[in-house]
Amino acid sequence: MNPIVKTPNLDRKPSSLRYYQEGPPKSVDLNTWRLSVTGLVDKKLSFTYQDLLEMPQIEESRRMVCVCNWSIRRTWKGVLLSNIIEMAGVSHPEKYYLKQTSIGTKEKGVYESTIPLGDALSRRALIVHSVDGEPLPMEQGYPVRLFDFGLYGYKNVKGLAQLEVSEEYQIGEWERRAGYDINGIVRPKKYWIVDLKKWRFVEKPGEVTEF
Amino acid sequence: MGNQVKNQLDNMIVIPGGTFLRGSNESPDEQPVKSVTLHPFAIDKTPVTNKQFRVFVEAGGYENPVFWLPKGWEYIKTNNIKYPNYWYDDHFNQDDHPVTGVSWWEAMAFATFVGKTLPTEAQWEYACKGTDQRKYPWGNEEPTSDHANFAVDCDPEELNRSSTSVYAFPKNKSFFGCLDMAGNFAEWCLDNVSLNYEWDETGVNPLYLTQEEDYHIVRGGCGLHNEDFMRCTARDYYPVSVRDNLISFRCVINLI
Repeated sequence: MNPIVKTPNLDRKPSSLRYYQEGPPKSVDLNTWRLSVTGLVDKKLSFTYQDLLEMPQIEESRRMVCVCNWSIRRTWKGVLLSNIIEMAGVSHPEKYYLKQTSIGTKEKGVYESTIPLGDALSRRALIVHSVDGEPLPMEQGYPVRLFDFGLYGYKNVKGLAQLEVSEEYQIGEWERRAGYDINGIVRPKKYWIVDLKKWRFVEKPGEVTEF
Repeated sequence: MGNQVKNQLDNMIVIPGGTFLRGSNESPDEQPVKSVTLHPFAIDKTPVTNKQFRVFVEAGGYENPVFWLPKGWEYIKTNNIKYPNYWYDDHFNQDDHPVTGVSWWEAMAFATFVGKTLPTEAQWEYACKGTDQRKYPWGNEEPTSDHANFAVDCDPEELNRSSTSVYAFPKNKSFFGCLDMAGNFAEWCLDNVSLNYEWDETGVNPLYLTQEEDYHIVRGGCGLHNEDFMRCTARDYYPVSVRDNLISFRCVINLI
């Protein structure tokens, strides 16, 4: 197995705290934390952290993009969202949406974001628990964060606690707070590429795979 | 010239018609570089400040559909919007700071209220760089904290950042004398987004329009973005509904 290559220029990555409005929680107790899967599913599920670690693991280098015009490619590890949806049982997932809700904090409440489920599955969305070979830091979404890499970060909830399969495309935190698009698809434009320490122009919408 | 027009031109800079090279080879969206001719116009010397915008709020601007495009009116009514998004946030609401947290609809409504409109991105770029191909509004010197409110590596030093006065950086003065064009807040333009300038066949008063509700261009960079967005030719764009503390605007009067 190849050793994990640490993300270059990580010391200059924009602070995650700027983009964690409802958190991070001071701590998360893994003895009580669960990722619940509810809504229009055949079988409601509840995963412990250990349950997720015991599922088939995916580790791959993919690029996340922030709507604030920066991006970083890192090595993420977790489980495929499709495995979880398959276990819960959703027929015709392309007809449904997936509402994510965070653990949140007493003071600031929870963060919500809803994404098209079929698109997330076709883009091989991940439930990420580790980055660069280490557990996600608290400010980056410990214990797990959903990543649909075709969408901006504000659509991908940190400190995830609940997934709900729904017929409703609900507006989420940043759409409500500041008028951003509900679809949150990564747009073709220029981004500051943190790991490359330079600007690159992205030509096509969706996940950035060309660099 | 009537008194009303004279009053409107207070704190504006009259820019004579002219021809300049729009765009650059720095980024694909700024190409092709083309000679562009503009008719005369006047542009606000500074972004619209909170003090100026307060006149609109206190005059009932958010309650009077006459100032609003129909879809903008629908947007503010549906979302119960009665003032800018950071109106009560003391990091952004000082009198002489640019108003922010305003959607493109709100910027257009204010411009209508004062008998003006928003600049085309060609007008904005010309007001910024004039005819000498300078990189930044002030010239070619690379920016420091003496030039503008911007973020090295897109990571502001303060977690809870603030805007700055439109007069905070005397060096941040454009070819024609406009202030605060680089950094602090990006500025809404009249044009819809285009990913390059291939659409512009004539090069005369160019303006790219698709639908009002489509994404619109912003110019000038902001306190969350780094120096590259402060180049005179750099382009960015957002949904018309965005009311984040990244965007402000200034107005123009077309003189022909």
